[in-house]
Amino acid sequence: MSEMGKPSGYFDRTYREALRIIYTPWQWVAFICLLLLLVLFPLFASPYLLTVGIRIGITIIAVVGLNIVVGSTGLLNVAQGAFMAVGAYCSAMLVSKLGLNFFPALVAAGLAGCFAGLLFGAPSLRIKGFYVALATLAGYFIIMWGLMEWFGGTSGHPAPRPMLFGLSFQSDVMYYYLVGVLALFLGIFANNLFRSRVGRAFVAIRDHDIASEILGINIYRYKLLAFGIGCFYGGVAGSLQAHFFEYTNLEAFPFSDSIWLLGMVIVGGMGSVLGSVFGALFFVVLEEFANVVCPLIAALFPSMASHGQMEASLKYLIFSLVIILFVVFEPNGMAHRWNLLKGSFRVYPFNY
Amino acid sequence: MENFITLLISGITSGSIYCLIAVGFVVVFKATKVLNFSQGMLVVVGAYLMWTVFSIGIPVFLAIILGFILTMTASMALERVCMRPLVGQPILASVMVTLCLIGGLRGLVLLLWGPQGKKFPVEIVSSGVWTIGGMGISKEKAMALMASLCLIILLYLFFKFTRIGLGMKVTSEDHFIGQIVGLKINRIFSYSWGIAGLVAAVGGLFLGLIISIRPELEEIGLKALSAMLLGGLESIPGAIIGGIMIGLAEAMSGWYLASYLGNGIGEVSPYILMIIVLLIRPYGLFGWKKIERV
Repeated sequence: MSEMGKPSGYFDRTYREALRIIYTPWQWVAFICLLLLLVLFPLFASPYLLTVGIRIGITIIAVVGLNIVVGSTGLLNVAQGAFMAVGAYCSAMLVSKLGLNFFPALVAAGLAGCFAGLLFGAPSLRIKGFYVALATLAGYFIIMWGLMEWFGGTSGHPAPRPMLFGLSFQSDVMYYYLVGVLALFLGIFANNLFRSRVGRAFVAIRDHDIASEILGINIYRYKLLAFGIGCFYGGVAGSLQAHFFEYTNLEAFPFSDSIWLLGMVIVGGMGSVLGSVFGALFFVVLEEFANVVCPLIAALFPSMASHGQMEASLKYLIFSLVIILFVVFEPNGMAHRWNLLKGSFRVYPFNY
Repeated sequence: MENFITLLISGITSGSIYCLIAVGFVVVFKATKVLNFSQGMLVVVGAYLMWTVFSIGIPVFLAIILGFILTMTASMALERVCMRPLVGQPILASVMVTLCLIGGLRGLVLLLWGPQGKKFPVEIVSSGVWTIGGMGISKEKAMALMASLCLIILLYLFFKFTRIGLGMKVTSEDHFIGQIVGLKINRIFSYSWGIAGLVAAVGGLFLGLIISIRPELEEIGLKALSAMLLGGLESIPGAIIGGIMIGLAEAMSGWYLASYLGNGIGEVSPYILMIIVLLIRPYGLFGWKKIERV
């Protein structure tokens, strides 16, 4: 845990203590309350809120994966949507065409995303900065073309809800728990990855590639590793999304979505799992909010609303405006604000 | 053989629109070291602004001038509002903002002009075909090619001889040195986006002449990135050659490889070319080779 987020009065005396994420009893209380809230959420949530919850979970997985690539390693991946599409197509085809169980197919989807990531991350070995953005941008269109030509075209595939040992995930409530458990597990894995030797190597490469190479970090290996892990997350998220909607096609993964995912990483906070959660939460809620507000605004301008695209265009405008405002005014993201807020409460009457 | 020459001509002429977009990329990159992903969308905005000034019914010549001024103003306003605060920020910030500008401008275009395709309401050049040695060349496309050639000559002279052009070269090398020799960095940035806006307006004019204007045309802008990369990021002649090569690759692969790789290969070939260039020669054909091992 970074020095900033650490409560005062708690000093680490052993390595084991230094590895703690949760320090104080009150943090335990808050953590358990949050978990309980998440577990009990389906009991009092309306079906609509439940689908929003599932979408937030799926988005969190995709954003955490992207954060490993963009936030901590500094490789600009603008094609997370395409890696999600690879995962979605892979697991949908395995389940519906070959009759495989969902869970092996989920792992296969992650591996397929990982493979695609390695393939289009490979050019990043020689290049950096916006060149990587160009490589992944090209990757997006090549992947989409490949999926269209060889893997079922634009018509897409059915993707039935999973079954395991007679336990059906047909209902949204069960699917919510599945997504929640996976998001929690993958989030904790990423959080620990950031604190490990590998995560520190990622950050070193982001901050100065030449210096990190002098320190003995194998840049090529770690860049590919970052792409592999990040796109594995993407593949898993894509697969979950496909089986949530029980159908998948290429229109579910437009290029703008990849940009919004990148925006979530920045709005939330780079290189922080908590930030990814904030970013995903903020954007999904913002989208739902836009779905409510945009028709109202459209109704105010009947002359303009005649073409029926007013809502879509307002959504585009709102999303890009929010991201630009965050880049300009708070490039450190919401996670940084959150830490500042916690810090100011912690020292409350005596903030110097 | 007959086919080959037809494809050659259609490739070169359809490459002309890529040239016009790629030149805009290069101008901004040359002056500010920012890769403006939204240049393609700016061209679309330019085309819509052109359509608007044509439909108010003033003489064509005046309308074209007015459209140019409007697009330049829009481009400079974008720079002032979105890019100016990012001077000195890491590269991610500018990439993110210009990527978002694609979405934002698209939203704005949809809001103001609607999703239907539009054609210019007045006839600017009499549409038709020139035949050279039995091959037909569409007049508009040939004129787009000539316009982009004129633009590069003008821009080449601009960067070579004018104070502002030379100042842009200095600024791209080092902001600090630029300030020491008495350049106003902010103004240089503003001018470079203004020129990019002008190029976008020319591109928009020909875009409207060749195809009907739709908000989805932003994809052409993304393909033009490949043209710019192929030519070299800093090279204006490179952008022209890159644009023509991308046009050729699209036409040729669409015809010859379609039976092996499916019909989409023509559409996707610019991106495949982009990956190949990044793997082999990231600085492009005419770009400056940076001596830095990553």
